[in-house]
Amino acid sequence: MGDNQMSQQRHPLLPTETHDETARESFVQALKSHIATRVSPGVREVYDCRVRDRWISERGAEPADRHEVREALSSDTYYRLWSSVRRSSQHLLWSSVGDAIARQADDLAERARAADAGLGTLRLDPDLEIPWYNAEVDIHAMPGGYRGEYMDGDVGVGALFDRGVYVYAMGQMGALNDNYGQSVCRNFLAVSHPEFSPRRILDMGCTSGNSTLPYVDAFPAAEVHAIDLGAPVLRYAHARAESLGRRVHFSQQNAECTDFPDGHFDLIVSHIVIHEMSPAALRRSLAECRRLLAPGGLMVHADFAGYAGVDPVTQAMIDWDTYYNHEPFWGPMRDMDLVAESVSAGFDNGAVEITAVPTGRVLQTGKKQQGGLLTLLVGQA
Amino acid sequence: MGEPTAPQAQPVEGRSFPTTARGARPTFFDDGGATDAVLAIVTALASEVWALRERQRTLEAVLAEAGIDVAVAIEAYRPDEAETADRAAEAAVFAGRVYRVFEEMREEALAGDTEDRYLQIVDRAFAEL
Repeated sequence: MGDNQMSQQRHPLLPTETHDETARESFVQALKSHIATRVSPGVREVYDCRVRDRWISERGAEPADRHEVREALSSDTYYRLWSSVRRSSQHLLWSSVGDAIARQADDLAERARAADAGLGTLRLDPDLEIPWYNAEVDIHAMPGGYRGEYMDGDVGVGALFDRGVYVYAMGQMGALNDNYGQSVCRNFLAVSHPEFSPRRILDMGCTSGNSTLPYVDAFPAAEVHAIDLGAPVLRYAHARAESLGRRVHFSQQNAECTDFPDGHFDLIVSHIVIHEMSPAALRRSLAECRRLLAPGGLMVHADFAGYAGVDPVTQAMIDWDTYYNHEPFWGPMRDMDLVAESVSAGFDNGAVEITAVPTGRVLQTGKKQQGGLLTLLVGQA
Repeated sequence: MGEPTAPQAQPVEGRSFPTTARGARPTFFDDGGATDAVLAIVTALASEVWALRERQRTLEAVLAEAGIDVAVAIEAYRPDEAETADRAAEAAVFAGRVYRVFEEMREEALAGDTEDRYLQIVDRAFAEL
C-alpha cells in the first residue's frame, strides 16, 4: 500500500506490500536515517575525544592510515554498538523487503512469465561459471546475492534488488531507480558529447535493468544490450523492461569475457557495479570494454570516488562497508588508479579520465537534492 | 576462473529464501556474538513495535472514518500527503527514543565523563563518613 508514502513507480513486476510490510520498510528507512544523522557523527566525536588520544598514548604517534584508525576504533564501545546496530539495520532492510517477496514469490515468477511482450530478448546460460567474487559473498548482505535461485523461473532476488534499493536509497534513486542511468545520459553524454549517436549500447552488470532503460529513451535508434551474472535478476530485468515497454536484449554473461564480437559497441556503461568486482576481474573487464568498443566508442563506468586525497578517518568510515557490510571490493576499488588501469587495459594515454557529474537526485518529497555527485571513469576507443 | 562455482546461500527448513547473505555476519563484541545477537533481536523488536504503532494509527484513522470491516479497511487505507509526512516525523522521533543510548554516550564522550569519575565521587562520599 501507500503510493504516497513509497512513491516507487508501480510496474507489473514490482512486489506489493501489505500495510505492516510498508510500515516495516518505513521503520528501516527511519532507522537508517537516524543512524546516519544522529549516531554516526558520534563515531568521529569519540575518535576525537578519546580514541585517538588512547592510541597515541599507547603507540606514541597518531594512527597512520585508515587501517590503523579502524584498529583504534575497534575496541571502543560506542563504535562497536554503532557497528552492530548499523549491521542489524542492513539485515532488517533485506528481511523487511524479503519477507514480502517470499509471500508472493510464486505470483512474481508467474507475472514475469506473462510479461514477455516480444520487444526485447532474454538469453540465459545455465552453464555460466559464476566468478569467485560474486559466488563467495552476497554483496551488500543481500540474501541470495544476484544469483540465488530457489524455484522454477525464480525472479526473487531481482525483485529484492529493485524494491530493496528503492527503500535503501529512500527514494533518491527516483521512481524507477534509474537516477544513475539518467545522470549519465542527461548530465554527461548530452552535455559533453551532444552529437554522440551510438548504434549499439552495452550495460555491464545491469541487475534489474533499472539503469539500462534510460539509454533506450535517450538513444531510440540504438540497439541496447545488458548483461549480468545471475539468471533471476535477468529474468526480472527482462520482464520489467517488457512491461515498461522498453526494448532491451538481456544475456547472462561475465563482463570479463563476453561472446560479443570485437568493436561491437559504440557505448559501454555500468552503474555502481565496478566496486562490486574484484580488482583482477575489473582489470579484465576494462580490457573487455576496450575489445568491444568500436573506434571512437565510449566507455562510462559510474561509481564512487576514490580514496585519494581523503583524510584517514573519513576513509575509515567509508571502509566500514568493506569490512562489515559485505562490500569487500569497495575499499580496493577506491585504492585503484582507474585511469592507469584503463591505459594498461589498452586505452590510449590521454583517452581516459575521471570526471564527476551531478546526480540530480530526487527525494521522495519530489524536491531535488543539490550536491549529489556521481564519479565517472570515461574512456574513448 | 576454472574452479567450480561456490554454492549459493541456502534457506533453513521452512523458509523458501535464505535469511542471510553468503559470507559470515561480523561480530563486534568479544563474547562469541552474544551482544550482537541481542542487538539484532532488539532492532527487529523495534521494527515490530513500529509496525504495531503504525497499524494502530491506521486503525484509529479508519475507525474514525467509517468503522465497518476494519481489517479490509486497513489494507485499503491510503495515507494522504500530510498523514505520510506526519508518520515520517513520528518515525524519526521514535527512532530517537529507542536509540537514545547513543546520544547519552556521545554526551559523556564530549564531556569526558567516565565511570571512574563517578566511582571517585562514591569514594569521596564514603570518605566523608
